[in-house]
This record gives sequence, structure tokens and C-alpha cells, in this order.
Amino acid sequence: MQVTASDGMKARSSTAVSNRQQQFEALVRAHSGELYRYAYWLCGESAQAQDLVQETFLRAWRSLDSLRETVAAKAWLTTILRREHARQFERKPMPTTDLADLDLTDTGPGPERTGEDAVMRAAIAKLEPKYREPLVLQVLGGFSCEEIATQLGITEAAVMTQVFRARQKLKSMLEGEEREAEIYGVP
Amino acid sequence: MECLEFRRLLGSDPRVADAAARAHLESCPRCQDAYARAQAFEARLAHALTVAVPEGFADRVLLAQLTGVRQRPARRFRYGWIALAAAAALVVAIGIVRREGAIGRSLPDLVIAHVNGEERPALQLRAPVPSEQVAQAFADRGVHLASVPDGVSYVQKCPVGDYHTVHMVMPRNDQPVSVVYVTHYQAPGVTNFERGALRGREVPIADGTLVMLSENAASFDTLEHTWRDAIEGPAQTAAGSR
Repeated sequence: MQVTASDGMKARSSTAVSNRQQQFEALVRAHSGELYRYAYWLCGESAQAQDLVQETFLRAWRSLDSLRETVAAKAWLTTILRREHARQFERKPMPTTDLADLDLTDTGPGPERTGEDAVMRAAIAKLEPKYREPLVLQVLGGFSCEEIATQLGITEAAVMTQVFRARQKLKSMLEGEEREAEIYGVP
Repeated sequence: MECLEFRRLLGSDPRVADAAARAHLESCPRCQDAYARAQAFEARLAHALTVAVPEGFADRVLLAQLTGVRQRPARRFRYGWIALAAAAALVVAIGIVRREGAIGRSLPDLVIAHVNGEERPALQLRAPVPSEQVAQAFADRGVHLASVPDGVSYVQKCPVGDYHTVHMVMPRNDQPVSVVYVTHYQAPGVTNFERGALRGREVPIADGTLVMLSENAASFDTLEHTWRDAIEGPAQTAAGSR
């Protein structure tokens, strides 16, 4: 059987498509979970977070060719998600729960789990976005202060201050601890 | 580095990667106490932030992308075997519609209708899902796998008619093979069947039935052996439990 140049081009094109699809699937498998959690803490609601991540990956698929390094994928996807969130939900505040209203009976795992996690989650939800977002990027995303500064378009020093204050506010809400920020002179 | 500076760093990033900070930590008992408290708080914080990801979420993301692609005919990427699978699905669907009411719906027909229905985009998935996800889907159906076969690109717990199943896709030789394990229903024996361009086989394994569907039956023998080992355990297979 003769193989023509056209057949060869078709085969290469098919392989490229297959590789692109496989690259995308690997991205989804590797990052959809952590992106969902990040989205959850941005908008505070599971259904919206799922929509946000789905839209993020659809946009990522359309511009997948611009992703040159796999190691940069997480930061790239996070940036897409932040922009999409800003576009969709910027004016909608995150729903919060008053700490005093929580039922502390532990009924099992999951996003709505009550008990210690629920108290912490309610406190996190009460943080202003400028504190909550860098904290989530640091603790869940594993990003350094420098990387978060690049993501958020602010200085590294500002990130360090915000995550420091975020922790102090959480401790203050949870335990009434002293304001260490004042003690250690953090502005 | 002094204690004050160390505590500032600790509050900003409790991982304390800075070499000078690590050196101070090793030499200062008070900062070691503060470090221990910070780590405990971080563990609590990380646990609370780690909300559960909805089951099957990655698969839903992939299906949304694939469905989106399929709805854009101007796009040029298309797999030959996907077009063939779609054509086969149409033939099967027409066949099923014609047969419905005359002979009822057998397990193979129900499985074909399911595989070629809402979940047809899953045939395009190629990247393997984590083996833990496959094992969990079976465990949720009450089946504990002795081993998890490689190369499952899609897995979902699906109702098929009145049957409870674990629905998988396993690409073989660049062609998708739908593998559906039906729990708590044993087919009377091994049966090969054809529906249009599709080839199929149903095989009783343990107290369930494995149904395989593809346009090419070449991989059925290997898959049957692999899944028998996985579900019954290799010792059972070696002892000739078929």
C-alpha cells in the first residue's frame, strides 16, 4: 500500500490533536481538584466554584498552545480562574456564617462538615478577600510570597503583610489571641 | 537574625525556608515553641481549607470540554474512530428503536444505549485516571479489586436500566473499548454479540457480569483475563474458576 504525502500530513495532524487532548486531560486530572478548592474559597459556594473551574478549563483549552512549560501550569490556570472570577462574581460578596450560629456536632467529612473545621471555615469566610485570597494561594496552592505577588499584581512585602494579618485575624476570631501584628510591628 | 524578625517571617510564611531563619530556629528555644504553635495552626488551617472535591468532577470537566468541541463543527480536530463510533452509535440507535417493543431490552442493548447516550463523549478520553479512583468506584459498588488494571481513561458509577454498574473506557490500539461491570447480576455464560459496527462480549465474573463493547474485538480476550484477575484475584483465575 502506498502512503501519500497527504496521508503523512493527516497522520501528523492526528497525532498533534491526540497529544494536545492528552496534555489537556493530564492538566485536568492534575489540577481540577486544587482549582476547585481555590474557586470555592473565592466565591464560597460549591456550584459556582464548579462552574468557575469548568469555564477556566474551557478557556485553558482554547489557549493551550500558549502554555510552554508544564511546571507553570498551576500558576497559569490560577491566573485564568482569577480573571474569570473577577468577570463573573466581582460584585457578589462571599456568603458568611456567624460563628455563634454554628452547630458543633461532628457529622462526618465533606465541605459542610461541622465541628472544628466548620468553625475555622466560618472564620476564613469572614476574612476580607484581600486577606483570604493570598492566604489560600499560600496554604492550598503552595505558592511563595513572591509568586503570589506576581499573581495578584502587588508587592511581595504587601503579600507578606496580608498573609500575616490574615493569620492574626483568624486567631483573633477563633481564640481571642493577642494581636501579634502590633507586638511585632507589622504595619 | 533576631527573634522579632524570625516571628515576622514565621507569621508570613510558616514554612520558614530562609537559611538565616532556620539557623536562628535551631538556636532559640522560645522561637522553637512559637514555631511548633505555628505548625499546629497551619495544619488546622490547611485541613479546614481542604474542602471535599465533588465526586467525578474531573470527568465532568473533561466531558464539558469534549461536548463543547463536538458542538463546533468548524473546528478541524476530529478522530477518525470517533466519527466511526458516532456512525456506529447511529446504526445501533436505529436498530434499537426498531427492535424496541418487539423483543424487549437485553443487558447488552441496555449497555449499548447507555454507552452511546449521554456518556458517548467519554469515548474520547485518553489519559489514565488514578487507580485509586477506579478502586473506589468498585468499592462503592461493594466490589473490592485485587488489583486495578492499567489504562482506564474514564470511570463512573452508572445506573443502566435497573442494573448497578461501574462504567469505564479503556483505549486499546487507538480505539476505545467500553468496559461495564454489572454488579449482582450473573449472565448465564460467555456470549459474543454484534450490533451494527459494534462487537460485544458479556462474561460472568464473580457475582457480576463484565460487558465489553468496541468496534474491534481483538482486545476482548486480554481484557477479560485482566478483569477476571482484578475481580476474582489471580489465584482464582489460575485455579480455573471460569
